[in-house]
Formats: sequence, C-alpha cells, structure tokens
Amino acid sequence: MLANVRRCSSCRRFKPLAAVAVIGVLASAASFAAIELPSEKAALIELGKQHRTAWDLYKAFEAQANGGQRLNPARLPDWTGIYSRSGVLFNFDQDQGRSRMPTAKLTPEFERRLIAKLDNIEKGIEFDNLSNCAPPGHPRWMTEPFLREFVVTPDQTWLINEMVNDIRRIYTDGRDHLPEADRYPLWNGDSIGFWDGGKLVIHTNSLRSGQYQRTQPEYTEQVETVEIWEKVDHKTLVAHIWVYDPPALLEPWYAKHTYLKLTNDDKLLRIHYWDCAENQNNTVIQTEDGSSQFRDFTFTDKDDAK
Amino acid sequence: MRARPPLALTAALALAACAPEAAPPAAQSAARAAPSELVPAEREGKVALGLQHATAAELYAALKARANGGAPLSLDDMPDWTGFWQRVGPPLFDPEQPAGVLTTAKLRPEPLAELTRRRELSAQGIEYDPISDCSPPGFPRWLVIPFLRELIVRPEQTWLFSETVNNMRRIYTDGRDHPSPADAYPLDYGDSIGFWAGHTLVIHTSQVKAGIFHRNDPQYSEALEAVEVWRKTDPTTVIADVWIYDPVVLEEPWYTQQTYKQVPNPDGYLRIDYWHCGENPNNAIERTDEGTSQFRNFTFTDDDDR
Repeated sequence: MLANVRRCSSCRRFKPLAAVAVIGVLASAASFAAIELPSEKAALIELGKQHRTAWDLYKAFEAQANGGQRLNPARLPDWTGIYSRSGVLFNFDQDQGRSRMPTAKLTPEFERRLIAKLDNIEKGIEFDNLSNCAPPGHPRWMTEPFLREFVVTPDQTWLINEMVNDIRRIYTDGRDHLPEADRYPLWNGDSIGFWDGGKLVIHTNSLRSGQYQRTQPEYTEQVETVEIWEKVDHKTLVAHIWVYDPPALLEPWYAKHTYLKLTNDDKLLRIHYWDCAENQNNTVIQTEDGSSQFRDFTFTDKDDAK
Repeated sequence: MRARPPLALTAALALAACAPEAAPPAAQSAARAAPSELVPAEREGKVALGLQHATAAELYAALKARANGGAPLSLDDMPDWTGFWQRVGPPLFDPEQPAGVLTTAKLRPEPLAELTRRRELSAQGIEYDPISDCSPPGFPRWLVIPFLRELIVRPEQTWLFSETVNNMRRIYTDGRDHPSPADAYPLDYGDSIGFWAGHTLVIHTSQVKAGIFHRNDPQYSEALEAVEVWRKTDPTTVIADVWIYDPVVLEEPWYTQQTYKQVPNPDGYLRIDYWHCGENPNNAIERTDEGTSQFRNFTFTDDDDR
C-alpha cells in the first residue's frame, strides 16, 4: 500500500502530473491517493487537533488531494457485498476497552451528563430512542450492529445500514452543503465528499443531537464530522472519523471503525426491509423515571403464561 | 371467469405488436439493444404477452430466452438512471384505468366483492390504510406510491429506492437465483432477481406478503409474482412494464405500465433525508372496530385545535 509512506506534511508536494503519471503505471487509479494518513493513533488525534473545525480539516484534506478526482466510472472501487461492524459494538472508540468512561475529552457539562447516565444504567434506568423506532442518526450510525451495504457510483455513494433502513447519502458530484439559510438538523445530516484514489473523504454537518451509543456520551446539533473511508484488504473497510462538537468535546474525538465483509458464498444472505414496528410487543414506552417499559408487559409470571 | 383470447389470436397480436417501437432519437442511445425486441410496443400486445404464459416465472424465462440469457452490465457502459424520480399518473395501480371503472384487473369473485365493499365503505368515509401505522407499502404497491425515488444501478445489483418509509428494493443481477422453497418466506418487498438486455432491466419478484395494490385498488395474496421490464425511454423518463400474476386474486395476469419522470434538480439542493414515519406522535393512526381511521387523541373538535 502507498499509505503510510509519507506523512501528511509532505503530501502537498505530491502534485506534479509527471509524478502522478509514473506512479499511475505502478498502482491502479483506484488505489492511488495523495492523502497519506499517519499510522499511529496519536498522530491521527493530533491531526484533528491541528484544525479548529471539521470543515477546516476537510478543506485541508481536499487541498492535499488537489481537490480530489471524480471516480472513473469504469474503475470503481469494489465495495460490493454485505458488511458488518467489527469490534465492541457499543463503544464509539474501540480503544475504550472495558473502561467506564470513553476516550473522548468531554466538557465538564457533558462529562457530568454521561456519568449521570451511566449511574442510571447501573440501576436499570435506561431508555434508548431507538426503542420507539427512531433512527440512531449520525455519528451513532457508525457504531450500530447488523448488515451494511456500500454502494459506490461516481457521483454519489450510499452508506446503508440494515437497521431501520438507515441510509446515508454522500454527494461526490462537486456540490456544496446547503446554504446556511436552508439548513436544519437532520438524522444523518448533510454529507458531501470527494475521492482521493481509493479513499472517500466526507464532511457532514446539519445533524440532530443524540448519543454516540447507549453507554456513550451525548452530542449536540453543533456536531460535525470528517471521515476517510478506505478498503484496506479484500474484506475490510476502515473508516477514520474525527468528530468536532464544541459544546460537548474539549477537542476533536478521533476513532477508527472497521467493517468486515461477510461470507456469502451461496448468496442467500440478503437484506430485507426492516419494519421496526412490526411486532407490537416490541413497543417500548419511556417511563417517568426515564426507564423503559414494554407495552403491557410487566414481566410477571402472569405475563409468562400468556 | 372471463374467457381468454384464443391462443392463435394472442400470438398474432403479439407478433404484430413486436414491430420496433418508434423511439425518439434522444432515446435511442439510452435504450441500447432496444427493448422493442423484448416486449411488444403496444398495450394490447403486452397484455397478450402476459396471457401467453401461465406464471410470472414462465414469462420471465421466456424474456430471458429471448434476450439470449441477458448480458451483465459493464461499468464502462452503464445506463444513466441517476437523479430523483417521481411517479406520474393517478393514485391507481393502473394509470390508464378509465374514470368510473372499479379496476382494470380481472378479479376473481371474492376479491371483487372485497374491493366493491371497501370502495363503498370508503365513499362513506370509512377507510383504513395499513401504511397509517408506518408499515411499508410493500411490493407491488411500491410501484405506485408518491414521493421521491432513486434508481441506483450497478452491474451486480440495482437498488430501487422510494423515500416513503425508506423503501429499498434490491434486484440481484449477479446471476443468483431465488432462495430455495425451503428458505423462502413472505417479505415486504419479496425477493427480486433480474437480468439486463442492453440497458433494459428485467425483474422477477416472488415471496411477497399479502397487501393491497393501493388504497382504492384490489388486494393481492402471497401467491403474487411479478415480472417488470424497466428502461429509460428519454432523458427524463423511465418506464416499467409490469405483469402481475396472482392466481388467488386474478383471473388473468394484470398488465400495467408505470412511468417515472426525473425531478429537476439543477442546483443540487433537492436531497433525500431519512423518513422517520413515527416522528410525530400526533400522526399515529389507529384502526377502529368499524374499520376506519382514528388519529391518536384527535377528535377534530375545537379543543384539539388549541
């Protein structure tokens, strides 16, 4: 792989067309990229901290990639198949391990809120908005379980999670975000991106507030993200993400997410429509103390007899 | 049961109708190996084509044989179905249904009585639509629901997306077959396989859940199967010829043509966001004992208007 050969600071020099042409002989157009990410997590964290906002980081990547390239329609990256997130599903950053607190540098207010939430969970008091069929929203989308598809076309990429038919649209046709006057918070925000060789670079804004996962911090409507997606081997897609959210985070939160292609030799594994409310017994109501109550279920012996 | 046209007449009609369609010049390149050789140009010929085959599987096999098995799409010669699309025509499964006619489908007595009764109740204001509780419309009703659509084409698969409740149909064009009967069960959108004949997509769908074709249309059973022939006929028009086979409900195959027009989006501002059907609890609709619809806690009195 060409990645990790150069640090980002030297990537800007990698512009001459002649050099591109020479390298192009050695590497396919789909795999060549000007953006070289550091291999160490500390450097990736530092990269985020070098930029004040997600937009600044995105524009820096864009400059490194000379604006990026439109994908060659005849040589699209092969992200076909069905994938699933690997690792500890309910940690936004896998490196949290078994720690109670996440790796994010939270502001005092959001640290206090997280501790209060975790304390309640330990007492069995918990309600997840997913329980009433709301979508997880982005960036929580990154951490959800179940099946995923990644549909790559030159002008747009669809990042699909089976759960609640959750689809992110990444516009790579050169359009910008909506003007500020037309923006409002959306479940999966508004995502634009560009391709740099086999890397898809995404900037997302216009998000609703939410939580990264059940045992993870909350984020606000000011949250913005930069992602770099890349297929690193025949069955592994990796997404680097930097999250910026000034009210909740003291500094950008970097995490790496890995999605593994599932074996599907007989092609019987197929994604179907997810009708969240199909089973009325699954209906969950939030109680006054913030806990969850299955509709008409009290979990007594009487219910078991039904 | 209505009498079918004699086979000889049907064949003659089909042969006569197989004369190439007069496509406008702009459509000729998009159509590639024009579908005119695949299906007749006129409605009568298409209706007759359906009647020639006892099942949807037989019609699909016949079309595949006619297309010499079809040919996989190549990334360097893809049909351009990008953009947003919207169905045109009245809210009826058959857009050509004349005014005052109950349906153009040839219904068996029991479904005919059911439709008649349902229409009478609807005229009295007694009506309940299953999608009121955020259930998906299902296929084939998917063909006729309103709102935005995306038709995402890749060689191995086509995704037919409708914004309403994030409906996604997946059409497998990688040569796989349907699951074996032992693995098959009813699904909201069934199981769809297909092949390409030039830039024409031919689809066979089975394994659907029972439902209604649309609010004022007949019901269908789990025995339903469908064949669709999709093609772009000009820069802003995609057309689908649809043959429905449902021996439980239909006396004979029901042919309709569905038309989808591209929605202008010159500034790229039109974007599809996540459709969270249950977002507004005031929209919750319950079915009453008499079969009509009741908004949750709404009685439509002045008190509610507060």
